[in-house]
Amino acid sequence: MHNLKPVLTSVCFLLLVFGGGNTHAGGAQLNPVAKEAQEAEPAATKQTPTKESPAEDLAPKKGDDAEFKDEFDLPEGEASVSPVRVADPLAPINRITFQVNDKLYFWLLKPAAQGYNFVIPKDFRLCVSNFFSNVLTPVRLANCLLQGKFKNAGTEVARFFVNTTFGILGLGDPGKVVFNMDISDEDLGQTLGRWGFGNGFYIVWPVVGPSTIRESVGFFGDLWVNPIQYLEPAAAAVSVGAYRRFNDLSFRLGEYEAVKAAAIEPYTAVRDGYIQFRNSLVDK
Amino acid sequence: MKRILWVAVLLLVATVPAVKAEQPIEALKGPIDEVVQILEDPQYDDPARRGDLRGKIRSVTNPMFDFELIAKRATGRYHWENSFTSQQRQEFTDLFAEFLGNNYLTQISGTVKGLKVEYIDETLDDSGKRAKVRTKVPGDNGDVAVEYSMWLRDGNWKIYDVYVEGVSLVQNYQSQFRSLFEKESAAQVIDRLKQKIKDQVEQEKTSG
Repeated sequence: MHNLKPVLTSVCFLLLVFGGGNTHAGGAQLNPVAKEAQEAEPAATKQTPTKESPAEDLAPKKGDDAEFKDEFDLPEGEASVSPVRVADPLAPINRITFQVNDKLYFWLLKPAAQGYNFVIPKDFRLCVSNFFSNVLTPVRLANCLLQGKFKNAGTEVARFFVNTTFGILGLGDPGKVVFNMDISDEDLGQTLGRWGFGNGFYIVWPVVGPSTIRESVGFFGDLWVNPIQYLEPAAAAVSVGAYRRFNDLSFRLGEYEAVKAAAIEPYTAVRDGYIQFRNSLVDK
Repeated sequence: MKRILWVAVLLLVATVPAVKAEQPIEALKGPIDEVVQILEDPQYDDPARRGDLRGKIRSVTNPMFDFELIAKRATGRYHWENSFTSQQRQEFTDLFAEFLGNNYLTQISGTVKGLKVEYIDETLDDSGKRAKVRTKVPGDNGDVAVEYSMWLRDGNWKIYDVYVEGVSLVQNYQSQFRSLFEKESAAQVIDRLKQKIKDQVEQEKTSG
C-alpha cells in the first residue's frame, strides 16, 4: 500500500490513475462514472456578468482588485481558467459504468491485487512489467514513426536491443538504468491527436475505464502491432493482456483512492483529469 | 568623475532587484525542505503525536499558497461573481483551503520517509511577476512531474496552481464545481465541501 507516490500536491493524482501503461487505459481500475450531461455552463469567460452585488464584493481586499481581475483570465494562456471540455452525451450511462467500475475495483481487483502483492515479490512483478513493456515496443515504435519522432523511434529500437539482450528478454531495463534512455510512451490515441483529431466524446468502458472516441479508436488500432494479440488461441491473447494490466495495477494500488479522496465530484474529476492528462501527452 | 558616478548609479540600479525578491524556486524549496525534515523527525513517530505533526506541517505549507486566488479560479469567474454572495466567497475560500490542506497532509503523511523533490527549472514571464517551476518526485513507478504556477503577491511568491503530470489542479476543481453548480445552489455546494471535510477528519481519525 505504500505505492502511493509522494507527490507533493496531494490533490490531483488523477492522472496517475489512468496514466501509467503505454496503452492508455493504464489500470483497469479506474473508472469514472457518470453524470454530467455535459456542461451547459454559462459561458463563463464571455459575458461580463452583470454584477448584482456591490462592487466591493468583487475584491475582498480592495487593493487587489485590479490584479485579481487580471489574474482571473490570465495565468499562462494555455491553461487559462476555462477547463478543457469534452462532450459527454453518454453521461447517464457513463456514470453508471463509472459506479460499476468503482465497485469492481474495490470488491474484486483491489483485494486480488493485494493478495498478489503479498505473494509475489516486488522484484518479480517489476520483471513482469519490464518484460511486457519490452514486448510492446512495436506499438510505441510505430507511433513514434507516425508522429515523425524519429529520434524517439531510434531510442525505442536501441532500448529494445539492449533490453532484450543485456536485459535478458526484457526482464530488466538496462536501457534506462544503464544507458539512461527514456521510454517514449506513444500510442495511437496520441498520434491521432497529433494529427488533429479531436476527442469526439467521452466514454467510460466497463473495466477499462475512461476513454473517448479517439482514444478508443487508438486503443483498437494499436492492437494491430501488439504482439500479444497474435497469441493463439485468442483466449490466451486476452488472458495475457489482462494479466499484464493486472500486474501493472499491482504497483498502483492507492492511486484511485487518492483521486477519489481529493475529489468533490469524482466522476467529473476523473473525466477532466483524464482529458487533461491525455491532452498533455498529445502536446508532448 | 561624472562617469564614475554614472557607473556607480547603474550598478546600484542593476543590483537592487536581485536583492529584492527571493526567486520562485527558493520560495518552494525552503518550506518543502522543512516539511521533509518534519516528516523525518523521530519525535513524531508516536502515533499520538500525529495531530501535532499535521499542525506543524500545515503552518509551514499554508503560507506557500495563495488560497484566495486558488478558490477564485477553481470556482470560475462566472460562479464566483454571480453565484456566491460576498460572505459565501469568504466562507468558501476558507473551507477550500482547509480541504486542500487536508488532502495534502493525508497524501504526504502516508509516504514513508525520504520524500525527495528534484527542482528542474524555473521560468519567469516577461513581467517577472509570474513563474513556473518544474519539479519531479521520484517514485516506485517512475518520476512524477509536478509543476507549480506561482506569482509575486506583495513581494512573496505564492502558488496559485499545481500541475501533476500535466493535470491542473485548479482546472480539475473548476470542472467539478461547474458541474455541481448546474444542479445545486451555492449553499449546497458549500455544504458539500463541509461534508467532505468532515469525512476527511473522520478518515484521519480512523486511519491514524
